[in-house]
Amino acid sequence: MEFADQWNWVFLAYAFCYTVLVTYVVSIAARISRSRKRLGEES
Amino acid sequence: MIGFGSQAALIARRDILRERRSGEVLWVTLPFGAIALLLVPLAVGTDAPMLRQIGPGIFWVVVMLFGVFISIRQTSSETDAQRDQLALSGLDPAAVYFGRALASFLFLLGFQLVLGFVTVVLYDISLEGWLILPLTFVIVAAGLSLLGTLAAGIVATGQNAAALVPLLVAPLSIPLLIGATQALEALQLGRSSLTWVLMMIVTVIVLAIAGVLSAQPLQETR
Amino acid sequence: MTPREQTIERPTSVWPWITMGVAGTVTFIASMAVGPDAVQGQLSRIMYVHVPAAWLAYLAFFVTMAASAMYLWRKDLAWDRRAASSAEIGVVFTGLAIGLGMIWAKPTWGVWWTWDARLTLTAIMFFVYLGYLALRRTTTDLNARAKRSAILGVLAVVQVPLVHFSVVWWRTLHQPPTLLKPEPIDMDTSMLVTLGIAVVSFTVMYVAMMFKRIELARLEDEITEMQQTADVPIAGEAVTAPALERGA
Repeated sequence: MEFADQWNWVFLAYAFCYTVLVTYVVSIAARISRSRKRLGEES
Repeated sequence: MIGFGSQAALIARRDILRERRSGEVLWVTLPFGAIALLLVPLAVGTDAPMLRQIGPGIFWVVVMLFGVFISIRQTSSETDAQRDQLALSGLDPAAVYFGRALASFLFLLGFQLVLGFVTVVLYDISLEGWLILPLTFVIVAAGLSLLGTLAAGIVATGQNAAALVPLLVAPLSIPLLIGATQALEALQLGRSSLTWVLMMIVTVIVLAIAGVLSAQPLQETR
Repeated sequence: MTPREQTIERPTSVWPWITMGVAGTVTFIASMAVGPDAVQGQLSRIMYVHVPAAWLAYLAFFVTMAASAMYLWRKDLAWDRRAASSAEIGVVFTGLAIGLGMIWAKPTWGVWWTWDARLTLTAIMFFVYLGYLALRRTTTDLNARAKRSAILGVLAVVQVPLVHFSVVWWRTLHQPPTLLKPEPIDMDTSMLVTLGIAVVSFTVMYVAMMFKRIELARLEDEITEMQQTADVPIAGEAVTAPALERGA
């Protein structure tokens, strides 16, 4: 397999991995701040 | 107070009566399974040797996927009031669990027999080595009914049950699926199917224990 | 002081976020700095995220089982929140492990998927825990939800070894073509160290995620509790007192 071709796969893997991780972490953060806002409003 | 066995039989009899009135398994689930067997050749082609080869596997997949519908049939679901009444009746929750599973077991056994016949006809299956089938039918029906009843008990109420129970049951029924298909294949290849049968029996025992242990806490839940 | 006020007044910690960022960066730098494998070439770099993700998938589900059992024993909703948080994170890492495995398999073996026992088992676990998360969405009664999902959490782990053995036995009878078998990677020390760093930092990331996910679970439980205990007008606001004096 070509050298550059291998790097493409590595790039794809890391892009996939970090996109998923960042998206998930951001979703936790967003859900936390939304919940805090609701608790603040309703209490 | 009547004994454990009679309590279970009482519940099973109730479920069978309700099914006889509504005919849900007979007139809905069973035709649905049969039509699934009819659809597969339309999709993959009607090459006779190929159908003969995939037939048994397709049969078991249909039994696993559609058999779940027997566990979640309308006639076995209860309203909140009925659940309360059952809880107050003093019946042992484990006996109720086994009674429900027993009714589902009988329906599943019938389901398998009819669909087995349909498979033999549609896929032109040879009956070589099929002496093992009565045994696998009984074990799979027992395992699936115990698992389905347990899952239906965990999900309990709500409109989601119809979609959720199959999702819970399908991955956990894999030992039964593999055991059933491999036991038959081993026999046809002249090997022993003892390991596969034992594996399925262990699965059934584990499910029975899990069902008994969780019956009490699940009944408290409302 | 009600538990709700306690949580809202407890300052939210930024340390877990920083830890996650550092752990992710460390893994990335380490796996890019190490030399390529002699056989696999640059592709071996995928291993440094694939293996930790798979490890965390199993760890997370083990934690779910342990926390579920603790809930059934102690009846403390804190254990339920731990079980649920770990399950959600576990599903994310299982998805990652499967996806990364596919991206690694395609250039090495030429296929996206092989019916390898471990691969099949991981995919099955993914669906088992999706079912667990789906079950949690069906009821808003906190205690009922906790009890049902704890029973499923324990049942799943009792059943998974059976699934595991059945799949392994099935697999030993149907060996995949040798072409598709993974080439054994002869790892030298630098690669092993890098893999070690990646596994440790991913585990640290998991712990940090757990902190935040549990905080979220606590907030969500409080909202549910508040909605259920809030004063609701008996007949609702649709009913108003009749205006008797009008037209009189």
